[in-house]
Order: sequence, then structure tokens, then C-alpha cells
Amino acid sequence: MKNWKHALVTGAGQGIGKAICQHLLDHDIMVTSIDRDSIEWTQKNQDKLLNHIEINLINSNSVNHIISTLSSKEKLDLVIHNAGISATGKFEEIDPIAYENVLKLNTLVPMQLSAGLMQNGLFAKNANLAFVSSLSHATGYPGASVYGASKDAIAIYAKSVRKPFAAQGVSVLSVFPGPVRTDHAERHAPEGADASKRMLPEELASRILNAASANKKILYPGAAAQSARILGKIAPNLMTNMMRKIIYDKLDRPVW
Amino acid sequence: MTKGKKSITLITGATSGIGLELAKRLLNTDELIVIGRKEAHEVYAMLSDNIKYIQTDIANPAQAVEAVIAGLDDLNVQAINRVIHCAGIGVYTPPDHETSEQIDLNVSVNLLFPVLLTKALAPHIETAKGKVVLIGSVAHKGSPNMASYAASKAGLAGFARSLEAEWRGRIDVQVIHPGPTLTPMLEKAGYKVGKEGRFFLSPEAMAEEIIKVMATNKKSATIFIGAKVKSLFRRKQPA
Repeated sequence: MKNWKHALVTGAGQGIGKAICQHLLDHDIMVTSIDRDSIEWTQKNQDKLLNHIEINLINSNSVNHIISTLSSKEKLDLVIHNAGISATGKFEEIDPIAYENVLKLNTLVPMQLSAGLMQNGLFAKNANLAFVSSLSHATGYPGASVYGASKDAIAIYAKSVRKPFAAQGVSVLSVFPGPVRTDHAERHAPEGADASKRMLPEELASRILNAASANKKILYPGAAAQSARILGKIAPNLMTNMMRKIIYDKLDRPVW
Repeated sequence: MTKGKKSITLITGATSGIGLELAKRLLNTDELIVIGRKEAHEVYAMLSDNIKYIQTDIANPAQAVEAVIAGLDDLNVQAINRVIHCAGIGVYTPPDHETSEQIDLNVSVNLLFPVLLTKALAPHIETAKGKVVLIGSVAHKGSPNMASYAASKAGLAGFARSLEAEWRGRIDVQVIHPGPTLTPMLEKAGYKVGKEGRFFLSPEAMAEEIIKVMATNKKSATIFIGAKVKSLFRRKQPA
């Protein structure tokens, strides 16, 4: 793994974010973790390496608060925008506030925070910046159209800033994970869906950190995600129809 | 729709640029409900006294949607044949110069408002077995100097792709991506048009092309080079 000293990880309380933080702490890398809840998973002697900011990123002042907190810390070698929420079900049955929150957390905040960190000179030289999008970027996502939109948006933001940020020494990685074995995925999956096929968060964390270490631009983690990416390119309608059959037609309840 | 009765089209962003030209072309065929921020008398002067106008500021999407629904109730409109989401905003600047406020505005106007309005109008559109048309941008594939704008338009394209699959057989959903167009939005965004401007379409020519695409069953379409060639050819024809 690259010789990072200070990393920032959003959505660090559980799932992928927690796995990334644990991996970094195991390698003695200082981590600023962000989550709306407190962190309950630190192991012995890791507290001194962990600086937790307990804040709900959806709050309007969250980006300013994080930037002002980080201004007095060591510059960032690694930033991973991992925090995300979904809203699944029939489009017209979901509360509009859920849509607002999905677009804020998954799209707006990562863009504002990235631009803010750059403007305030908070990246170290040769830093890495990763955006966790979704495999849904390779297909349509009936039953989660606004979640899909939010992840398409952040994928294209990452693509747009890649060159200008690289010119300032920040390498941008876009990650497109398929289903991961997290509580979040479990909550949104149709009843009876097979969780054993989902990637473990620890495996995804390791793949993300390896890809960022190698300054890769794009990561479709695992053979299933790579196959879905190819199918989405060569047969987009077939892929979207499959998504409708596999997910939308089986959704038994709206969840947000 | 009753035979002989005009179809009802609700359009956002119809007081400037492509949206204004679209609205002008739909005046004769459709009963227009225009959503915008400008004063009513200005909008009637631009278009016609026969349109219905709901004044609201879409920079605040949730409140604007409430205002639209209240306006439709006042007008006693229960069915809408076509909703055209044309309102858009953008900033032309390197991504590390984009302010939080600018990014927020791009997402609110270009993505959140169309999402919330589409949800709120779903019953009206379904009653008419109607269609949702989302005006995107060729920038939805990425643009280094319009990063959050490109993101918002990519979001719109993704939203259309998923919702089309979800609503198939109930409500048609179409996304149309205009190429560079000489609209006031370019100037407002801070873009200075140079020699490349000769490849840009006029708002009038772009509106003509969008009208044609809207009449098709295409789920997604991009209007750019081919349309420019056609518009140059048309200009050379004798009047």
C-alpha cells in the first residue's frame, strides 16, 4: 500500500467505510473518519490514530465544518467519498425528502467537499481521491431511479475533475461496486435475495485501497462487476430489462 | 384527450434560450402551462396571453413544486399530456473554482427539481397517458470546466434511463441531449464563445430539432453535428 499518512473516509460507521478505516489503521495510517453516528469498532491502541467527526453530511453546514476542522490537521494523502444512502421502491411511492437526501449525500456533498478541499489546499502532494459510485452506472436501475441518478452524477463528476485535479497532483479513482454484504444492502434488497453472492466489505476495501495505491482511474471490483460493465455497454437495454426483472419486479416494499 | 382539444404541455425554463423557442413553436398546437421565475406580464409578452403561467423560483425545488401543484389546482388541471423539463443552469469554471453555492444550485435546478416535479406530476401525466421529456446536455458524458453541471446532467440521463424502464407501458420517458447552443445560459455561465461558436446551433434550430425528436419513441437522443449541417443547408435555401 502507498505511503499515505492521513486519510479521510466518509460513511465510516459501518460497512465499506468501516472496513476501509480498519485497513488503514492496521497499516498505522492516521484516519479522519466521518459518520452521523459515533464509531464503535476501534480496537486497542487505534484511538490515537483516529480522529472522528460525528456529523450528518446532509446538514447544510457539514462541508464547511469538516473543512475548518481539517485546516488545522496534517494535509490529506487520501480521501474516500464512501457515504451513501438509497431509496428503493416504486418511484412515485417514495417520500420526496428521501430523494432530496439521496442527491445531497451521494452527489452534492462529495462534489462540494472535493472542491472545498482543493480550494483550501488541504490535499498533500501526490494524493488520491476516490469516489464510490455504483455498478448501476453501467445500467439502468428501475426501482432506484434517483439513487441510480445520484451515482451516475458522481461518476461523471469524477471523470470531469480527473484531468484538472491530476494537474494539481491529485489522482482520481472512480469505484463501481456491485452488491456488497452490508446491512445497508440487506435493508434495500428484495426479500429472499441471496446475500452470499455479495462481496464482503473487507474485500472491497482492500481492492479500493490497492487501486488507489496504483493511481488507477477506474475500478469495477470483481468478475461479476466487470461482466456487468461489459454487458451494460454492449446491450444496455437488455441489461436494464434484467435489472427490472431481478430487482424492480421483486420489490415488495419501499425503503428509504 | 378529447377529440379536437389541444394537448396540455407543461414546460419549465420557457422564458429564455431553447425553452423559449420550444414554447413559441408549441403555442399553436398545445395548451401551454409555463413555469418560470419572471414576472407574468413579461412572460405573456414573450409568448402569448393564451398561455397559463405559474411563477416560482426553482432554485428552491421543494417549494417550487408545491407552487406548481397549487397553481395546477387553481387552474383545475388534472391531466397533462407532456411535461418538458427544460430549465437549466451552469457555471463555466475549473472545478477547484466552483463554490459550494454554485454546485448546490446546479444540482437543485438541473436534477433535484425535475425529479421532485416528475414525482409530483406523475398522477397528472398518467391520467393523460402522457410523456415526460427531460432536456439534458451533451456534457452528461463529462466536462472539466463544467464539472458539477455535467454531473447534474449525467444524473438526469441516469434518472431518465431507470424511470423509462420502470414506467414502460404507463408513462413515456425521453431524454434529449442538446449539443452546444448559442443561448443566454452560455453567457450567464461565464463561457466566452470563440471561433468554435460557428459549430453551435441557434436556439431556434435546436428547438426545431427537439420538436422532431419529441414526436418519436426514442428513449434518448443527442442533437449536435447533424442538426448543424441541416440548419446551414436550410439557411442557404431560397426563402
